[in-house]
Amino acid sequence: MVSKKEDCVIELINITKTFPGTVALDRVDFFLKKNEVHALVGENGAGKSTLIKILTGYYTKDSGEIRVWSDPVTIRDPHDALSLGIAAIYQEINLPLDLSVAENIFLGRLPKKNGFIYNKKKLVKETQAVLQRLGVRIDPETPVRNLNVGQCKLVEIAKAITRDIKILVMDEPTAALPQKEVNMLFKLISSLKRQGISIIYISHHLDEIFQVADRVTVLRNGKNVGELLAVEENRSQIIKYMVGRQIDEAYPKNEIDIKDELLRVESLTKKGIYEDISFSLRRGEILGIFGLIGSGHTQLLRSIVGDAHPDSGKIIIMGNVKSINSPTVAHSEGIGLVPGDRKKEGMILSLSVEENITLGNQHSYCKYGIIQKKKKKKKASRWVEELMIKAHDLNQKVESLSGGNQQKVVIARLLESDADILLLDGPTVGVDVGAKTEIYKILENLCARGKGIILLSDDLMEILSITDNILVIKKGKMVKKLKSKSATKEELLQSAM
Amino acid sequence: MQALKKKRILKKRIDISGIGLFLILALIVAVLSIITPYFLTVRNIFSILLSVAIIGVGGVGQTLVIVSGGLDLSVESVIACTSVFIGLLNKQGFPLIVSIFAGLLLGPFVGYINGVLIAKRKINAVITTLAMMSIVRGVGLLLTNAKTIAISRSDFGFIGRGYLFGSIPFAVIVLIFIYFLFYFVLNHTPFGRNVYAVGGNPIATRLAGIDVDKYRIMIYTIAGGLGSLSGILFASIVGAGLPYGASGYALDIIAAVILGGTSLAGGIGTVQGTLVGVLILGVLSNGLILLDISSFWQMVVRGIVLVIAVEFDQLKLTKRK
Repeated sequence: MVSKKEDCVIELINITKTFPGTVALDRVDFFLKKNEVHALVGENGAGKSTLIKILTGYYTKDSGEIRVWSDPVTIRDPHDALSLGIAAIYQEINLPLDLSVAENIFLGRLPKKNGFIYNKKKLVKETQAVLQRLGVRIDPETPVRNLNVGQCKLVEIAKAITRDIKILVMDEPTAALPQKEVNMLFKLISSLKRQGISIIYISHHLDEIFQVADRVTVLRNGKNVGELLAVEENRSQIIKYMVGRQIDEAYPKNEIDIKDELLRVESLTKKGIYEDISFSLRRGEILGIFGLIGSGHTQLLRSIVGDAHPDSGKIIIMGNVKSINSPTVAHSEGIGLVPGDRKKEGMILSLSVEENITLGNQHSYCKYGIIQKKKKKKKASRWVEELMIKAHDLNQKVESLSGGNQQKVVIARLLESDADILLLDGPTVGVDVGAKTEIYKILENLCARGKGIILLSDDLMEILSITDNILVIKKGKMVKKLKSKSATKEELLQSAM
Repeated sequence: MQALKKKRILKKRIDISGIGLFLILALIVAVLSIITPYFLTVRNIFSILLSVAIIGVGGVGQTLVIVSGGLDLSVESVIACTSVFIGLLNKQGFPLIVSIFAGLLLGPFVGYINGVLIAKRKINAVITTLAMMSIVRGVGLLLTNAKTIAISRSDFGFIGRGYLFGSIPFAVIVLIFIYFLFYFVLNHTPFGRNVYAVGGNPIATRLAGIDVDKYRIMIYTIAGGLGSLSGILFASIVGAGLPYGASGYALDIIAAVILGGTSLAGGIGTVQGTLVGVLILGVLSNGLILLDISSFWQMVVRGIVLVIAVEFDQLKLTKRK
C-alpha cells in the first residue's frame, strides 16, 4: 500500500547514506502526505535518525532525490531545510535556559521598534497569540529554566510554527514526559494537523502511534520494509516488520559459567533518586539494568563508581564492605565505568588513541618514575588489535574515530586498568550495527575471562539478548528481577512503565 | 619501507614543533639581521636570552596551568614579593641561602592556596588568581612600606648577572635547564601526561580514576614555585627587592604562552612552543631597541604579533575541523 504521489508534501526517493563501515540507509523511500501524522518506527540503528537528519540538513545524502511539493530540492544544511519549511524537535532540549519563553520563541527575530529598539510589548503580545493558538498556558516572560520538560517541548513547537513551518519532525517527543503532558501534546498534534502542518513522528511506543498517527513506515537495517495504516489491527504486522524474522539469532550470548560473587549491593539508597536497591553481580555475569529516563538507574551506576554518594546502604566487593567515595577509589578497587555520554565524559578528544587507552594507568608503565614509551605503546596496540579498533595508527586523535571505535577505545581503557567490575551505560548508543555486534562479542569474551558486567540500556532487544539477569527500576525503586532468557519485551516494558 | 618510516618520523617532529610559529620567529630574525648587523652576534643572542629569562621561567609554570585548563594571574605578584622576601631577610643578616630558600617557598604556598580554592572550592581561576595577585602584592607593600630594598651582594648578583665560561649568562643556563626539565616531565612522566588529560576533559579524566583536584593543586603549586624562581632571577638582575616590581608581567607571560600555541581551552600546548613564544617577544623588543625605536612602539608591536599568532592558530583549528 504505497501512497500515490500527488498529495505528497515530501517525497524521499531512493535515499542512500553510508558511513565508514556501514550502510545507514539503503535506497529508502519515504512519502509524507499533506495534513498527516506519519510515524517512523524501527529498532535502534534502523536508520530513523539518519533519515531525519538528511531531511533537516544535518547530513547530506549520498544518492537519491528529495522533493518538496513535487519539486526536486537540495538540502545542504539546516538553514536550507528551514527555508523549505522543515523543522525538527529533538529529544534533548536545546534552548538557552535564561532567556524568557517569548525570547526563545522569537530568538533571532525579535520584533523591533523604529528599526532597532527591542519591542518587548509586541514580543509578549505575539507570544501570547502563538501560545493561545497552541492552547497552552505559559507566562511569556518566565525564563525557560523554570519550565518542566513538557513545557520546554511546547516552547520548541511554538518556535517552529512561528517560523511558518509546514513540516514538523518530532523525535521521541514523549520521552521523559509525564502522562498528563503526553495527552496535552497529543491534543496539540491534532490541532497542528488541522492547521495544515504535516508531522513526522518518531517513537518506540506503538500505543502512542496508534493514538496520534495516520500511517506508519517501518525501517529495519537501513531499509524501508513496509508502510501501513496506524491502526491497532496492524500491531503484530508492524512488530514483525520491525524485528525481522528471528529475534533470537541477532546477538546470542553463549552459555558462560557464572562463578563467585564479585559485587554485592545492599539496600543502597540516595534520597529522592533511588531507594533500597540490592543485587549481586558474579564473575561471568552480565546484569542488565532497565528503566525509563529519570528512573534513577544512571545515578545508581554513578554511585557504584564513586561519582555520587549514596545516603545509606552497603557496597561489598568480593566479600569486603568498601566505601567508594571517589572514582579514584573505584579505579583502585577494580571498578570501571563506560559513561553514557562518550564524548563529554568518556574520553579526551584532543588526545590520541594511545593516550586515551592508557589514561589512568600511566604509573604501570613506569620505571623510576619515567614512562617506558615502548611498553606503553605495546599495551595500547595490543588492545587496538584485540578489540579491532579501526585507527590508522596509535597517534590518531580519538575525535576523528567513528562512534563505535571511540566506544571501543573507552572499553579498552577499562580492560587496560584490569577492572573486574565493568559498568556500561548505554555502550551501543550511536554505534553502527556492525560495531554493535562486535561490542557484544567483546562483552561476551570478557565474561568468559571472569569479569562481571552491569549493562544499562534502553534497547529492549539488546538487554534481553545479551544479559543473564535483568533488574527493572521504576521511579528509583527496584520493581522486578527477571531471567533474561525467559523474559519478554512486553514484560520488561510493562514493569518499567 | 625504511624510507617511509623515516619520512613519517620527520613529519611527526615537524608537527610537534609548531612550524608556523617557528617560521614567524625565523622571519623576524632574518629581517632584523639584515637591517642591523649586530643583531646576529653571539653576544646579542645571549643578551636576548638573558632578557627573556624571567618571563621564560614564569612561562613554563603558566604553560602547565593553561594546558590543565586554568590561568594564573598571581604570578607577577609572586615575582615581586619573592624579591621582597629575599631583600628583607638579607637585610636582617640571614645567610644568603636561607633568604633564597624563603623566597622559594612563597610561590608554592601561594600556588597551593590558588589550587585549593580553584579545585576544591570551585572558584573561577581568573577570580581566584586575580584576588591572590592583589593580596600578595599588598603583602609585599606592607612588609616594605612600599620602599625598595637594595640587595648589594656580588654572590647573589651572580645568579642573574654572572657569566659562566666568560660569555654564557648563568640565568640563561637556568632558563634552558628549566625548559629541558619540564619538556621531560610533560612528555615522559605520568604527571605530565595527566596534565594534558585534566585540561582536555576533566570529567572523563576523573571518571578514569585520576584525582583531578589533586592534580590541579599540584599544578598551581609547581607554577607558584616557578614564579618564585623567576622572582629570584628578578631580584638578582635588578639587585633589589622591589614591592612594585614586575607589574604587567602576568600579561607578558600569558601572551608568550598563547603565542606559543597553547590553547586557552586547555589540553593543548607545549613548553617548547612557549619558549618560541617567549623568544618572539624577546627578539622583537631587542630588535626595536637596536633600531632605536621608542619603547612605546614595542607595546604596540607586541599586541599586533599576539593577535596575528592567535589568528594563525584559529585558522589551523578550523582547517582541522
